[in-house]
Amino acid sequence: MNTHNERHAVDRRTFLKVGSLGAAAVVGATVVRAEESALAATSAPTVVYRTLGRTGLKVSVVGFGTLRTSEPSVIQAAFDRGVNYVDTARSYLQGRSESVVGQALKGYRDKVLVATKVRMATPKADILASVEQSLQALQTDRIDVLQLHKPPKTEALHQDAKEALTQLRKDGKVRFFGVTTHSDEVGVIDTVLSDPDKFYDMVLVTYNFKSAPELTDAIARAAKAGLGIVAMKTQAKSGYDTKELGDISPHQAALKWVLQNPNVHTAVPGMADLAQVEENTEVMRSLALTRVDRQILERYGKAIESSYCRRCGACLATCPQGVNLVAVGRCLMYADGYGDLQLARMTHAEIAPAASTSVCRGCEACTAKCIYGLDLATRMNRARTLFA
Amino acid sequence: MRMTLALLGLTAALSSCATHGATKPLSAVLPAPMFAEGWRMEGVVRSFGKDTLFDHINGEAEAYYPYGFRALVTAEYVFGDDLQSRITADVYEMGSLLDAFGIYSNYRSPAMDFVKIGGQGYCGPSQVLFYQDRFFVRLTGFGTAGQSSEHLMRCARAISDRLPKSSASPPELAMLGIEGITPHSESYIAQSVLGYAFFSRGLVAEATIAEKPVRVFVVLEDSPESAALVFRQYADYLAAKGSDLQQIGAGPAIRLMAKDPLHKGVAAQVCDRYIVGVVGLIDPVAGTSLLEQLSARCER
Repeated sequence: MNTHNERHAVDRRTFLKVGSLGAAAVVGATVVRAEESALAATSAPTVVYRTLGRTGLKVSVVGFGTLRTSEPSVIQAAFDRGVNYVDTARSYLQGRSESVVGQALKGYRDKVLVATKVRMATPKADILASVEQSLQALQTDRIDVLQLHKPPKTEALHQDAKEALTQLRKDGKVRFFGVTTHSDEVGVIDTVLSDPDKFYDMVLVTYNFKSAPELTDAIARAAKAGLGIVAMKTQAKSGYDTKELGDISPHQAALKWVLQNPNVHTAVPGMADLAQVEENTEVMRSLALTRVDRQILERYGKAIESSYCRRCGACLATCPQGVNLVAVGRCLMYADGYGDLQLARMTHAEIAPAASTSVCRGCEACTAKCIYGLDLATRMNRARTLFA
Repeated sequence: MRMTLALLGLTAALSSCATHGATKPLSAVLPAPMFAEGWRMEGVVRSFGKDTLFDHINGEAEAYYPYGFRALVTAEYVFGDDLQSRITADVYEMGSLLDAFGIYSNYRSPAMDFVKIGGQGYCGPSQVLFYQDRFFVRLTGFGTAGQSSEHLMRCARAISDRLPKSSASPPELAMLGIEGITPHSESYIAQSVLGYAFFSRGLVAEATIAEKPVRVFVVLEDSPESAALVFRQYADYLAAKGSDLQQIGAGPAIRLMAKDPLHKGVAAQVCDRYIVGVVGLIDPVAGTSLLEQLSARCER
């Protein structure tokens, strides 16, 4: 772990330098800009604000996902650089993350907006109790945005939840409501949009340069309908080594890609330290995605491409034998990506026999297709070797 | 690089096999079909890896990755015919004993009710958490029986019996065995200690000096050379921030005192392959006693 973390830290620092030099070298017209940027690096960039849909809240385009830091002073450093939207959850470390935010809010509460999450629960008293715990941990009397934590689309508009949240608003404890989603994002967004009550004001959604165009379209529909859009998981992959990239970090480029979309009102990248706060807030100096940024993203994309299954499920209908290609693909990742054959086989054993590798016939003209270009025939050959 | 990573992964997998026995997968640590009379497993054991952990614990998954998360197995137990009374049992395999302690310490606070299980555990009205060897176990109870400490502990012990036998805590924690430390406040941070990327991993604990709260830290490096290098980075950073940096002494025993931009006063020094220090000080000189204790521990 140590070696990886050290490397990671160096990569981030080096990136700031390499990124500027790269910009100067590749895009001649930006030489002066790069120098200016280097000079200006000691002061915070001018904050870029957008309006969070019909909430009317003015949010900095770079927000703060708090799970990864246990240091309130790091969050305060972000506040000092103009970040005014902080996102946490009751469930993160059983409330410890909210406690860290609560400490960070001291002296800043009136300058920043606090978003947290509550799990869908019945009876509604459980939701009310959870929010009370959040308020206590956050050391505040109000939550600006309360989000239902990853409800399936069948429960996103649950009446019990609406009643509980309405009660909270009536009591002055919550200002606006939202939902979060990191699977079936389009389905959840469309469900929220279909609500005649227009009960929810915003959506926190996984969105990054690997997202499908359908999600970009759904986000556009949502924004047009007045929903606030907050992006998370802006780096596409977390917990993955990107050593193949050498000394270049993709974080700024990935964040800029997301913020290129004017329908995204803020993003909440997780930040663990001061260097990451500076790295992420620096993108507000110029949100324009440069040629260098695009090159970095291209390299990053290639580095994670072979293992990046979006789990869209579009492939499932293309195998006449009914192999669950998504589930088998996950097993392959465990085996080949992580070198953990035991976990791979254990996970494979959980797939229903009628959809496991054992029903793959290895058809010479394999019809299984990935719309994003993964070579499913080769992957299934590999899977048969390992699991059949 | 890929080959190296694959070999490392394979080594880890083999190690896991050796621990549980070649024919026992990780799922075998969850008692089936029951852990005690009346408590039966509902459904099957489910497992999650790095890319699917968020399916089980949402965004909280991010907190597990720096601690070498390898796999999670989870099961639901229900009590007799009372389907409202249930226990969710999650067993996480982390990178090492220190990593398991580290993720455990993210949940723990000094005021909790601690129980003797594994390396350490605590029991609340609806949960039991503990670490044992490189495993972190998290039990959550629902309903009357599920929230009973007695039932939760029975489940915890059944799982503990199936894990590698160990009540060891990470040897690194011995560094914090000094006077003034608040009991059960020690934590292991696997990324960006004190919010600084150059402090890649280390221990942090609460302490008091003259009844004022402070924090002690031990940055863990791989060698005296890398510790000296990181210490120099920190000193440079403090100097660049205009932090009233004072360097006392010379050579390997050099000590710094300054005003840290994030943490008030700081006193710190290098000890072998560690950087030890105290932050949160009104006057950095007040940290001297704790610093001396830390460096004495280091020299043992």
